[in-house]
Amino acid sequence: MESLIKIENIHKIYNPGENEVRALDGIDLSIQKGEFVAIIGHSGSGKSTLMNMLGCLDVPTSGKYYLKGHDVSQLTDNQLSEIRNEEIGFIFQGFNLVANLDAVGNVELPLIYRGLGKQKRRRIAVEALKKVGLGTRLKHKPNELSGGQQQRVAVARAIAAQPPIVLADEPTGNLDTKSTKEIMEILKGLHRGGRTVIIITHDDDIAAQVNRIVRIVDGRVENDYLNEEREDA
Amino acid sequence: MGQFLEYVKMALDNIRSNKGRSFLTMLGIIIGITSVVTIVSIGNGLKKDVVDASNEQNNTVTVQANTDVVSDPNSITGDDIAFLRTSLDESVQSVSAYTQTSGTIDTRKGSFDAYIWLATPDYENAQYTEPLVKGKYFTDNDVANANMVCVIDELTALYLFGNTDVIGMSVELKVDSSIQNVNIIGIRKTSQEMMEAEKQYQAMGMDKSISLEMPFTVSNAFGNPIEAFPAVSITAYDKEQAASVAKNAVQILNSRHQNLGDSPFIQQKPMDFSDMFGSIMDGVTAFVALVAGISLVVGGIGVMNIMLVSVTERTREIGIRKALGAKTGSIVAQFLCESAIISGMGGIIGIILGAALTALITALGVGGIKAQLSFPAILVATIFSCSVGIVFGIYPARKAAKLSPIEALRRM
Repeated sequence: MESLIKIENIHKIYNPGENEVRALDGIDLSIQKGEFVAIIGHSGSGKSTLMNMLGCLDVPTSGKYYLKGHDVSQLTDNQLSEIRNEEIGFIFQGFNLVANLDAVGNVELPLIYRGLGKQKRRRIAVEALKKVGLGTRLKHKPNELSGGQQQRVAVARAIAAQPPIVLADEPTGNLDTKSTKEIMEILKGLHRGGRTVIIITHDDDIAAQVNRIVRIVDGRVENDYLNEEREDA
Repeated sequence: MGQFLEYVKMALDNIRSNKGRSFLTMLGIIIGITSVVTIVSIGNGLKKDVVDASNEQNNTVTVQANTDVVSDPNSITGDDIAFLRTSLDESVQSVSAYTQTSGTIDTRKGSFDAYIWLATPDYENAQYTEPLVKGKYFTDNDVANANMVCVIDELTALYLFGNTDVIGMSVELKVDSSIQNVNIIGIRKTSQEMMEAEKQYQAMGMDKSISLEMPFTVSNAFGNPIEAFPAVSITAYDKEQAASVAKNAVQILNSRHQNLGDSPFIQQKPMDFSDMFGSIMDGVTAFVALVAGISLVVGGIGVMNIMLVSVTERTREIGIRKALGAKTGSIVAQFLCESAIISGMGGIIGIILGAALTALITALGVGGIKAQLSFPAILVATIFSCSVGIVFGIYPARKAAKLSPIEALRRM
């Protein structure tokens, strides 16, 4: 079966020359449809750079990235925008909501760039917000919501456009224990629903909740294993 | 189109959430457009006043020989003029012609160069002449007999005799080698403006202006007889009649001179001072409007400045939008819409204020100005203010769109 994501010998080198930084130093990785993966590593290990590659936010210095079998490693900015819009739902550590838009407005954003009409957009956005339990907070602006609620808006935004991949960068990094648990439950639900979910984290407790763990050290994959002692299914 | 409305809505949302700042940004555009609209309106009003005033005076027409047909332009005879005078009698104030020559006058006060108008009797009331204050003008009889009489203006009288009480006196006029004693029969008023101008000419050391008006037939005595004139001036009672009078006169002259060829006479194109003044006025208005227009450019730079601040402030938002799939074009469109709407709204407010100011100036009658709103000016102002927004918005918008999403998301 063809991998959903297939990365071959990817390098990302900043400041080529004397003070070059090899953020990614030859990574190979493939992820199948429906997997629940944690990419873990300490800060500076290159996991964020890897996440930017996976999310098509950046292109590698060398190496190949096949998404659904298509090479996306050397596309233009606008082509990458299109792929991000179609294929990837982002969840960020800092929530990254637009401050002057309400919850519905934020969830609508990726749908606007997909070119959907106003009515349809609104219906989908409200639906997604209900799914994450924010059906009563539709008109609230981000600063009127708690951290956990803001992150749930971000999750709704990530799933509203039905992308095959959900990419979560330290999704619980800014949250208290209770909210962390809520968000993880939602992500697990997405996985159960057939979505491919990739979490980038430095937190072993989070990693322990997923099926497969990829540990990154110094820009290389140190080990990549299935999580047999997964805490819950 | 649907997408475009999206960007307009985004822009409006953002302008709404930054009301104070957006208004201050608009202020530059508002002031610029208000001043341009007001200035052009004032210029318009002044021009209309002048053109109207000068049109009122245009009841004099001139008929002249058509030099394309006639070899000698001096082909309107004294008889023609007398005939025209009788034919057109009802509708005209005067039918006059003149030609000019020069001579010298010797008096006890010295020798003066004199300017001589050899004219027909109706020249008394021709266009641009002042009324007689003493005596009388020469008559058909004087013309027929070539009487050595003259009418001088007050200034000439003062120069020659030191006072204006000179009716019945005579001067010794020398033209070429012929010397004649000329009897003064009338005094024409010298206008106040002419008096003032003459003072300045004298201060500049120029010759004293001495001029005499005489029956044209006296030219015989000076050895250079005048048979005909190049043109005849006809003053109608009002402007409406002038055109038909001119047509009649041309017809009469043509039928009297059929031997000269096909249509030997034409109406001289009237010297159109209104056109000339109008174009001067247009030039002045355009210049002042241009100066005011500079404030528009300053306003545009204000828009650019605030858009740059906005791009910096919203770096994170731009990053989010790009991460979620916004293309370069979408970000450019969003920011361009914002700057175009800011300056467009400024333009509309400016036009309204300009129109109000125009009405106010007219109502208060400042300096008797009747300012008139100019619709082309409003159109230009609208287009200009929108283009200011777009032109000065391009740089910030491109700057925003070029941000890399990773960089933009990393910044707080």
